Formats: sequence, C-alpha cells, structure tokens
Amino acid sequence: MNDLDLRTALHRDADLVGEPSPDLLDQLVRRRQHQRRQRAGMLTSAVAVVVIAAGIPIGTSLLARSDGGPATDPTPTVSTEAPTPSTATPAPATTAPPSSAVPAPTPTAAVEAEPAAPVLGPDGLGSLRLGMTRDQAEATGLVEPFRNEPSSSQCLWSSALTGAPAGEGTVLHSETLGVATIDAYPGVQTPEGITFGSSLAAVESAYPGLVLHDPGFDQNSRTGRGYAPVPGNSEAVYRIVFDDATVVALTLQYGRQDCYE
Amino acid sequence: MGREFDDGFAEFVTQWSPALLRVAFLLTSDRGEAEDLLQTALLKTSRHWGRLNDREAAYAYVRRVLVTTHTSWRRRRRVHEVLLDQFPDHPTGEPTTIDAGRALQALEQLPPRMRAVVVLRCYEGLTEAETADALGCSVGSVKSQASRGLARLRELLDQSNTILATEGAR
Repeated sequence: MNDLDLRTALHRDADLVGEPSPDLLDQLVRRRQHQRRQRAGMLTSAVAVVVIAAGIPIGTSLLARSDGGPATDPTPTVSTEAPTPSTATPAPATTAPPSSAVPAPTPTAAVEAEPAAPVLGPDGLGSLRLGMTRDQAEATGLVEPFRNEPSSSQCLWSSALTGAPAGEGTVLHSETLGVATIDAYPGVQTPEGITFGSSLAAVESAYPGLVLHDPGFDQNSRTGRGYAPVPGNSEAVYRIVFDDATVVALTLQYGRQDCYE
Repeated sequence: MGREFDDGFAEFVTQWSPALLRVAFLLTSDRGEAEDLLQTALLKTSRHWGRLNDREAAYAYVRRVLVTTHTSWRRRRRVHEVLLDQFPDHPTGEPTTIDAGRALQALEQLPPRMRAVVVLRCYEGLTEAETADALGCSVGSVKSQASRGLARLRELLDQSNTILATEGAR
C-alpha cells in the first residue's frame, strides 16, 4: 500500500463520522453555562471551607482539586499534576567531598542513596556524545540499534536511549554530522537541573539566553518551543518544548543539525 | 447565543467544525467521543478567542487542543467516563467503530501518541516540525513514531487486503 492509498483510505474513513450536530453551538452554550454554574458552586464551597478552616490551607487545596475533569478550563490556576520544581537550580551532580578531618560517610549511607539522574549535556548523555558515528554510539550500550527510516532530511537513522519509555529518548543520526540530536525522557535532567516538569521561569533562570520561537511559541497559552544555549558547548543548543509554561520535551542537539527545522 | 461568545467564534465553529470533527473521529473511532472532544476543544479555545490572530492560527490552535486533550483523556479515562454521564446530549444511533472502515480499524491498533502522529502527518498533511508543535513533543519523537506508525498501518491494511482477497476467491 503506497502513501496515496493510505491517505485516501484515511479520508474515506474520516468521512464516516458525518457532519457535526446541527445544534453544536447550542450545545457549546449549554456546556459553558454548566461550567459557570459549577465554578460558582465550587467557589461558594471553597469560601465556606476556608471560613470554617480558619486559616488552615485546606481550602485552596480543595479548590485546586475540584477542576472538574476534561470539560473544564485547560489552564487552571493551580495544577494538581506534573509538580513543578522550584526555580532554584539544583547543583550539578558533582559533590565535592569535605576536605576537613570529618570521617568519611559509612558505606550503608552510600548504598541507600538513590542513583543519580542521567544528565543530558553539555556534550551528550554519559558516554554517548553528539557527533559519534552509529557504531560508536551503539558501542556505548546507551542506545538501541539504529533503524533506517526514510526521510527527506539528512537524518536517515534513528535510535532510542535504552531505558527510555516508548516514543521517548529518540536519538537521530545525520549523514553529515553523526549523532545530531538526543532527546531526554522523564527523569533525565540537564547539568543545570532542568527536566520534564520544570517551569518556564526555572528554564529562563537556568538559561538566560533562552529564545522562545516565534511563531512556534504561543505567548497566550505559554505553550510551544524555545531554544537555549548550552553552557560549555557552543556548538549545541537545547530545544525545549513547553505546555502551559511547563517543560514537556527536551532535546540536546547541534545548533547546525540538519534533521529538521 | 450571539452574546455568549466573542465575535467571529460562531462563524469559525460553523465553518471549521466539520473538518475538526473528522480529525477527532480519526483519533477516537467513536462519533460520540469525537463530538465530546470537539466541544471540549472549542470551549477551551473560546476563552482565548480574542487573542488569536487569524483563522488559520485558530484552526491550528483548536487542533492542538484536540490532540492534547485526547491524550489527557486517555490518561484520565475513568474521570472522563463519569463526566460523560453529565452530558447526554450526544446523538445516538450514529456510526461507531462497528461501522468504521478498515483504515480506522487499523488506526485503533496503534498507541494513542503514534496514532495522533499518523493522523496529523498523513491525514492533515503537517510537516514533522508542525506535528511536533501540535503534540508538544520533540521532532525526533515524531520522526520515529511516524515511520513506525505508518509501517504498522500499511502492514495491518495489507494483511486485511490479503484476508479479503482470500475470502473473495472462495
């Protein structure tokens, strides 16, 4: 089956849905009024709770949890999901040992410590580096075997970081540059502490040179992509995608990568 | 009704809702869910309507809300089903997955994100970068998911064709 057949089949099946309901606008009006009533009711309840609780901050918590599900505003003032880290930038993973005569920590403390989060940047992720050949990249053991994928760009091979969830951690190889892009996945962070869930403010603080793309970033919804210089690697940039001012995708890539955009 | 929404929103809904409903249907395979998804996306858009510059940008905006809302619903399926009970306005007796075509049935075999990538790339004709913008993900993810999704879709449809041809020869 070729692309045209596939496209034709999709168009034919999409038409099976028929036309929208003739009273779609009336339904929208009813749902909007319903939402307003719900919000008014919630506000009244929340105020009552706050008054009864007399300063106990449970009121705001209830207000945030009464969002009402998918039929409500996508941009609640308080999010109950995807916790946003503070704007403070965590220190890089390198923790210098004390030089004084303090005894070394006991081995049990080291055993109980959580493994450090993988760090993306400034040159790559662990021993996987931008610019590597496919063989070199696979030899690190950090990527799956590369797959040849038809493309109109110079990037005909893609892989994924081992341990990344399906669809995350994509690694693209350029015929001219070698490994050209490395995607983070949830749990991976930059040396400056930026990760999935970081706020736009935290990113701006970590990377003052962040440029929000126009028109690729919508200022109203604070959603879209931006590019930040990578401290310590003038050849690379971070491509960062935000949804409602929260990081939802993060890529380390050559500034001159020829895979897309 | 005219005062309920900002200027031009009703006209936009009238003009573009048929196209948007088709996208929603390819994402959901179900007319009722597609209409609910479309209504939700339109309501979300109506709140930002005054700040959207032109109608083309508005269409892209609603489409992005459509796919991200659908992904969110998949994560909160149980909540969604409870809410649907509050809105019994959906038409009944309309075509559902039972009447859907083979491409739609093949789409159902793909994971939600991969399905959205295929719909945006192959049906809406977006570039990889535009698809990544719509889904809020990396372009690398779109490239690999599109490649695998389209290959899987072709495989499923070819299998389906083979079965039909075999049955037809009997």
